[in-house]
Amino acid sequence: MSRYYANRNFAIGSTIVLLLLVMMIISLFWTPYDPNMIHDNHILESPTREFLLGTDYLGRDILSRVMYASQTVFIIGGGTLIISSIIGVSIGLISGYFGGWLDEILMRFVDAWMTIPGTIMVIVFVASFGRGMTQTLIAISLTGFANFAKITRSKVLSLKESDHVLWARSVGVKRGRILVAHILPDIMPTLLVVGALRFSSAILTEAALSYLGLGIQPPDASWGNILTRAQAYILSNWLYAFIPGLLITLMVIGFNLISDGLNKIYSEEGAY
Amino acid sequence: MYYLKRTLTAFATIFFVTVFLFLLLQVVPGDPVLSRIGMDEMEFNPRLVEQLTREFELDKPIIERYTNWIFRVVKGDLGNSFNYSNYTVNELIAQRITTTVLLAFLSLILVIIIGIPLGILLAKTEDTLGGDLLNAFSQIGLALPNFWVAIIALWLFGSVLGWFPIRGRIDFNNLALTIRSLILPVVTLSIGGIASVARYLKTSLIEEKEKDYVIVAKSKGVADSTIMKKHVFRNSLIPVTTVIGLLFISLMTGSIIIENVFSLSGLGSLLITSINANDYPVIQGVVLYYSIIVVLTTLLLDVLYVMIDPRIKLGKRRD
Repeated sequence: MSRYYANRNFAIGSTIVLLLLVMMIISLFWTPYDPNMIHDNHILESPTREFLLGTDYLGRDILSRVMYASQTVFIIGGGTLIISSIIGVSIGLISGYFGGWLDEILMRFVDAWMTIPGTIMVIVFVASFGRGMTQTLIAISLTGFANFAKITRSKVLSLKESDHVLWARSVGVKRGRILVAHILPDIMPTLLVVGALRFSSAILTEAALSYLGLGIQPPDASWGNILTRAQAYILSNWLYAFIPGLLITLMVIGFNLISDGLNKIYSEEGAY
Repeated sequence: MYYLKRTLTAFATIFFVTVFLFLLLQVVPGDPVLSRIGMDEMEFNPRLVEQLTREFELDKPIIERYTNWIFRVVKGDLGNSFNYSNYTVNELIAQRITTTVLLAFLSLILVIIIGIPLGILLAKTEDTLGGDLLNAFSQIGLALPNFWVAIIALWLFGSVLGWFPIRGRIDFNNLALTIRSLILPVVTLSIGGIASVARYLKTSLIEEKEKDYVIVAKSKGVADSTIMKKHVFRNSLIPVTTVIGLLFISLMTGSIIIENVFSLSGLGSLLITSINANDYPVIQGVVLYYSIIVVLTTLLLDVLYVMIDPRIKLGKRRD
């Protein structure tokens, strides 16, 4: 691990993400108050010792809601990353390794898919399938897989002719096994670099979508949907709007730095 | 031949996008009749419901609706809005498209005039303390959610300091108000773009600086500034043109959220209102407009790319 921490970008990025992860884990077991509990006598209060970030328009503790919302971020980021990389990498592996008409069809499809602008696709998707966690997760995953497919395919094309793959083929290793055991591990570094970036763009998309009222729906909390209300009440408590946005920014910076760092580490090691 | 093929592909893509989005919008439609007339009328006025259902063509099968729609679209008719009675989709879009295009275009200009010099500066100051600081700023610029910056800026400069109007208005009869309404939206929309153009140009400049021809020119005694201006900068701009084209697309879509923060009435806010009202003709129309803009921008870009860089082999797919 020390080779990773020698890289400044990776070290800073992973520290930020780790801290936010700790906050998320704490929120699973403990928040100052129940995030959905309504304190009738404390509506729109400014920060006090009792409510460190104040209370929202229904009298809920903002700090508790902000902590609770960090769970959403990891679910959306991690979930979309898993779904879109599984779909994308499978398409890329098949397309690159088998080539021919299969490759032609798959890549035409991926190219056409990529021309639909992501934001528009996500908005239309939630407009037809409804709003909520699952829909948001699927919609964002659908915009991400094409990228994975393209990158995997181009890596497979060059790896297909490499010595260890040719060797495996010549001694009769089965195709499926070559793909999974001989080609996939070599693509991993690239996938990690791209994956960290996908994580941060998924977070930004979710926040924007939830802010517009099309993503995560209350009482589920997301930093994006907290901001919708916070904007209306910003004059009474600016921290209400400031903190969620700051956390989104930190999370995105964290993953971007991890991606940058990994990229540098792997390219210096010649892992690409 | 290349241009012809590329243009045909562009139209095929627009067609594909329309079919895809049309189908998607039909899967689980909310009830536009309900959104238009409300629960009470829905229950007590079955004739109105029937009339509207027929008017909106909701009683016909999907394929028939799609073919009807596409034939009308080809003639330039996008249909009538369900939600804004008495307005056609064309009228609604015409009223609002100026705001969105203006916003995206002004932001693009701002991105270019700040992003490019910043990129050069980043490349020049690499490995110095000032450079590290600039680099950190550009990382932050890349990560900031633009709508959050917009919310905070609107609060600080609009409500607290009172420099800009809280509710913006684009009105060419009142130019001063229009300019004051546009400054914050344009700046907040540009931040991400400025950071990404600067970072992209920096990488591109540094890579170019290490190429053989630069070393040869240096060894022949050509002045550094001449090499930079005549060769390095020019060649580094080639990949940047692609980024700027893609940027225009992302500014157009990014405008959706910025319009909502600043309550500007553009295509983006129209789209969100229409989604909330299940106003399918308007959703389809706006999405079609966005798709056309995106596809045409990419087409233009591909053509420009070939013209700028003759090394690209025509007709071969870029991987």
